[in-house]
Amino acid sequence: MTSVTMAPEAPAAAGSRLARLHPLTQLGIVGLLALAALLFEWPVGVAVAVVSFVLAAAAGRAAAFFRVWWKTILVLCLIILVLQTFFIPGETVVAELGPLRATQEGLDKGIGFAGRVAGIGSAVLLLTVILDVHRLVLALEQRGVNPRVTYVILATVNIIPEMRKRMTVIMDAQRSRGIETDADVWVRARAFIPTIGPLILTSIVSVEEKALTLESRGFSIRGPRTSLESLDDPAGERALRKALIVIAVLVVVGGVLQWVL
Amino acid sequence: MSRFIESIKKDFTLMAILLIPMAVALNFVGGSLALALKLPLYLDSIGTFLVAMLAGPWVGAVTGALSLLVVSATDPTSLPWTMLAAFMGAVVGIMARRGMFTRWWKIIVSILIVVLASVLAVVAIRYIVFGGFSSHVSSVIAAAMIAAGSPFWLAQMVSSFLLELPDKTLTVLVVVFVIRAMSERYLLKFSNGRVFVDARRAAKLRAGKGADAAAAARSGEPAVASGPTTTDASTESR
Repeated sequence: MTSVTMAPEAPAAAGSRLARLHPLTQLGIVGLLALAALLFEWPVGVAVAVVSFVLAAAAGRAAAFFRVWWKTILVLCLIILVLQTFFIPGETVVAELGPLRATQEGLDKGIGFAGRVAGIGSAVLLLTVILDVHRLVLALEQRGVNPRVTYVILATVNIIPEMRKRMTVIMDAQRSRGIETDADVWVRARAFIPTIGPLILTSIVSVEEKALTLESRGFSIRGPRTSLESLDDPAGERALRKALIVIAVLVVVGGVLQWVL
Repeated sequence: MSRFIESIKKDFTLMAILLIPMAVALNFVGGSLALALKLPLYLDSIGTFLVAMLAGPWVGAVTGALSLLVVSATDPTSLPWTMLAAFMGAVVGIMARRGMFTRWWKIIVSILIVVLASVLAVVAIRYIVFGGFSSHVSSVIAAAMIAAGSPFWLAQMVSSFLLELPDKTLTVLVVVFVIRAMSERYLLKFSNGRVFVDARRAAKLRAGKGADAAAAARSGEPAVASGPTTTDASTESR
């Protein structure tokens, strides 16, 4: 369950042009893809999914992309397709399977939803395999976003692995004291409280300690800050982002026209 | 308008900001613990509810949304549930600010409201985004009910209610117990802390008054002396 975005070495491992793009450019590309999948019919969604896969492959992250893709997006799309086909009532019956009847109306609806889900989901997945949260936070700070906001983003990404480790320790400790974690559902439910309880309490205590530490290092001070890292934003990319915004506007207009006409 | 923004900013105290990442991690770990114990519950909003009760609807909504964004990094199909998590954070935060999590009968009413809000939001999002069925267990239940001849919307409501009721009940109870265990000094560092501290003092006074009344009943005299002190204490603590 280790996410790619949470590994700081992710972009270095990729090293491709796509992964080295400015984080805001990456966000813009993915946003445009998702927008197109949202506003147009299912063929565009499928096309967006294909483009996302190709871009992920170009970034050298095809394996990471596909591993998550089939387990989440493909499975969900198949479920949507099957359940819609069999459980949406309609006039035209395509096939019969015991008491269940597959209808053309359900199939059409299922394809529509599955195409959108595949498109938007794949675009988001592309973002998770190419975006490095540390670089994104840096880009946001350079644009004058409040350091409290960037702290929350960065701390969240850093705390989760730490907390998972703590949970494993607590679970092992409680198991060694004789708590049942593999018995029937009631016993397992009762194991939840003694595991999550200590975790909540230790995190609450550590929040106060963190507050003291950050205050003593000038966290709430006003004024400009300097960063240890730097982030390139070449003119070409700034132009690209402007182009992306123009295309996005065109996509929205096109999408709306398509609904109206 | 600017006063409105100021009132939101006031909720984001340093402690609240530091609690947000912790709460997101708690959600994440709670959810994966429920999976590891193979429980038929989500239990992935303990952190959101904790923050919402302590720091109000805005911080609660941010925590909920951020939690689902983190989950979406490993499962992109979770992205639409960001809206649900933010909405639930806001609902719990609003109720907490009105003192709905301070006494047992209020807590029971609150749990019902939370479950109801959650069911409606789940059904709405699932219908708008996925057409009514997603890859969750409750969709299988809904499909089975529809196959058995139940109307579409009834099946959707009942199937998510079956999962939301135990899940949200347990979540709210865990958070209420955690807040009861917090010291007043700690509670007061959050914008909603005052609500819980006042309720705690009021409960203490009620208990004291009850004891006085009992003692007075035993000695055969009416309990008057505790009256004025009660009002003094409650006005002072506002």
